Amino acid sequence: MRLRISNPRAMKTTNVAIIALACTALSPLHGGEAGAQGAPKLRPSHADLVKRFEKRTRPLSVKGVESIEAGRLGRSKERIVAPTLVGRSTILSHGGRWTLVPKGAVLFVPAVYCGRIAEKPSGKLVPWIEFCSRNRGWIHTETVTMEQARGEAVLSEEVTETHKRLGRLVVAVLHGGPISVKAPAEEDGELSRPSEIAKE
Amino acid sequence: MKHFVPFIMLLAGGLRAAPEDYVNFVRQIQQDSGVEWDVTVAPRGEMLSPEGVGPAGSLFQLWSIHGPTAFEYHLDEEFVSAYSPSAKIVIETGDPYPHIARTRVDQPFEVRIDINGLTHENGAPVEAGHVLLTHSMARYPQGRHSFAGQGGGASQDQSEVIDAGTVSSNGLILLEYAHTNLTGPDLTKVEGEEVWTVSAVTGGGTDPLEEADVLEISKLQVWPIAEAAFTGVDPAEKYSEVPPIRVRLMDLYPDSTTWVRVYAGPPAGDPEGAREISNSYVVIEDSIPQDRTVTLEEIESLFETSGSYTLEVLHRTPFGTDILTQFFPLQIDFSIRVRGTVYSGN
Repeated sequence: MRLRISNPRAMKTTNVAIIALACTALSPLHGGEAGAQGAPKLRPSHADLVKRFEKRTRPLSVKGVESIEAGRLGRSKERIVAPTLVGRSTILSHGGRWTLVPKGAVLFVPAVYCGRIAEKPSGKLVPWIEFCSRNRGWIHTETVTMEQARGEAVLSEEVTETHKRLGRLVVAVLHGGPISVKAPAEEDGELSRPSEIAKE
Repeated sequence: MKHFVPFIMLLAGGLRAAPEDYVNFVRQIQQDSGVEWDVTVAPRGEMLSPEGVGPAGSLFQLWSIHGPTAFEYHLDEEFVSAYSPSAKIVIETGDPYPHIARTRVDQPFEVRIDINGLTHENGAPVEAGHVLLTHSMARYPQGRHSFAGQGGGASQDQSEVIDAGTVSSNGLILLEYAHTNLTGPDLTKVEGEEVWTVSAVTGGGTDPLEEADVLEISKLQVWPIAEAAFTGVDPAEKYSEVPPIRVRLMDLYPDSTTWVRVYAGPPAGDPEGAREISNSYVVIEDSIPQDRTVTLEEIESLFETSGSYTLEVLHRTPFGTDILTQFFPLQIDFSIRVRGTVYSGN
């Protein structure tokens, strides 16, 4: 921002002519100089504008636009946007390391490993691939299809029973990356929380 | 000084954060099902998404998390769908200010919207062939020139949708407006924003239409008309020496020059002999309107003879020059000057 305020203090008469000449030379060079030339006109009043604004057009009533009443607009169901990544994830933590998987990716949690699902991150953050590799002893990855992830197809009973027998924490993956799995007939896109996933 | 040391160490540590302290995630969020899927990515490189996008598209978010502090950085985001309408909105006003479209309440402007990517081919979902165009407005809170403190935008309560329509074909839409659509008890003083939004649509044109992702949004700032007032002089008084005249200037347009001129006789459209008062100039080059007060002192030299004069405040903006206020008559009478005093010794 550049702001110039001309000196408001009193000036000697002898200097007025010189300063007037200088300011006259300066006046075309600043503020609003892009304005159209023409005689100054009186500032419009509220009444002047009321009269001008009387005929408000609806420019959307133009070719190419099918006008609709604003009242017909509806908001779609809550747009799925993650405010924070951690807020929409399950934290897995063990041995001084932690990682994130999407909420709903953990399919089964043996009671003995409940403590490895953390409320807050602690330790060193590592990528999922590294965390999974280091903790193969208690993590099992279950490859699912996109249809199963969307809840359009269910995991077979045989698979879910196997999870219980494995005694390991089960994470759904697709192409190696953890993926959330919706329970069938879920409403509004709410993902199953780990606490709702089968536990011993 | 001791208590500053830990802070400095922490600050220095943060400033020296190494790339290996960050872990990057790409999260794909299927918009129709809500399924979320993580792809761990290297700090540099590119890769194809192993899974495609759904009919309603997918939101890809790039996050980087600083391990030691768990601070999250949302680096980027892209919405991708098989059918992806796009829009570009350009607002043209009489003000060439490059950073944001802005105008004054009484000035015309036009909005050009270019729609692309709509398709009605066989098999395409209905939302691939329509977008929603909305026009909303919001006035700035009283006494303020922005929505600062509100996350940079108007709240839902403040914003009013004044027009809406659906667009079903690609091409350019030209909207021409003669003046602002903002309303208020004094139209010369309203200020706020008008916003045009092009959104994808879900619901296939059924009633009610459902607005989906915003494809393009563009806003126009609308500023009030400046006003001015003279104080310190009385039209009923005659002056040999003009007292200091205060000129209050309010809501000067962000790109403007304002000054005072004087001429003999009553207000006239094209006065002869008008003289600009040199110490009255106020130049504004800003992002919001400004208020100023200017004091005119010892201006007698501008009046060659006794008589009635007109004072005017002129305000030049990109839209032209306005006379904000006039004062008449400023009555100058040099005959009432005190020429001397006579003392009697008795």
